[in-house]
Amino acid sequence: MPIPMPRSICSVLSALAFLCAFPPHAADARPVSYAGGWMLMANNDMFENTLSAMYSPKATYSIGPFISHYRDTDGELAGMQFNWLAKRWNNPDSQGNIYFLSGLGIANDDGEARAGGYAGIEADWEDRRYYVSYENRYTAAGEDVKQEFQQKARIGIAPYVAEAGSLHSWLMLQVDHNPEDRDPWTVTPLLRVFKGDYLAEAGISDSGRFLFNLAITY
Amino acid sequence: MKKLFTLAALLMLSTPALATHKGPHILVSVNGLVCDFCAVSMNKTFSKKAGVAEVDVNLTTKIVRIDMKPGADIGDDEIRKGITDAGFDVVSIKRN
Repeated sequence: MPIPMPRSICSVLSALAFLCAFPPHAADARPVSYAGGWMLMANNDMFENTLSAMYSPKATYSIGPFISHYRDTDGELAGMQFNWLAKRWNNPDSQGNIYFLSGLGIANDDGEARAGGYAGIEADWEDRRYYVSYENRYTAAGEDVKQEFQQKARIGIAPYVAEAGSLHSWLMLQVDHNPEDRDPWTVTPLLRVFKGDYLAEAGISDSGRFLFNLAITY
Repeated sequence: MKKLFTLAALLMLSTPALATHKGPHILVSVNGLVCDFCAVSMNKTFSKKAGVAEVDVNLTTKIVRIDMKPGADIGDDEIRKGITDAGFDVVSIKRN
């Protein structure tokens, strides 16, 4: 008798299969890529599994489909996202960015569909040694799917400074704040590695839950 | 006949060297180059342009070196547009 697989695991496996199905060139986890660039992302943490594809017609905005599965409600939100690079600071040795994030689509809970979406802000700054970022978003997809404000912040340090084409590694600490959650604060140490077009992140939160993100750009 | 074979062999051996010979190169100083992804975007932006033989990005010096094929060239305006479209800022352009 086949053992039923949890939907969250199915989502992760689907995301991996989707990413592996493309012969890539690829990646950084920024919500906007260079003009003409495609980005595929799979984000899996203690709250949700999200699979998205983004195309950047210009270096200032991106658009593409996404689907999110929320672990606590077992609901889903699928639609189109639009990300806008509102401001970029290109400095000689660092870069800073402010993005506006938004998505609009259909929320689904046990076959019951309704309109849903999210909106938020992301800001980051990095040089070749240090990284900081902050992101918030409000998701309005109904109480049965997801109706809450979330925010998270990251700090990171590169143990070594790598040249172009080499393996880049970052040790990061992510703090999530979900006011509606039973445990509003979550801390996740994680390792980010990327080389050329590929980026991967893996970590375990203080509550013992996994974080695993992949990004590939074309 | 032996000399003819020797000459033919030398010509064949020299062909790859001729094929990889590079023309002039352009050095572009760029602000905002902080990660490998930045280097990837520079490579993708310029390597597909006609006349470009090779693109090399140095994240330490923030210099993008564009090697042109012999006889080929690319204008400053096109370089600036490529860098800007990739999301970065041009500081200076030098040609050798």
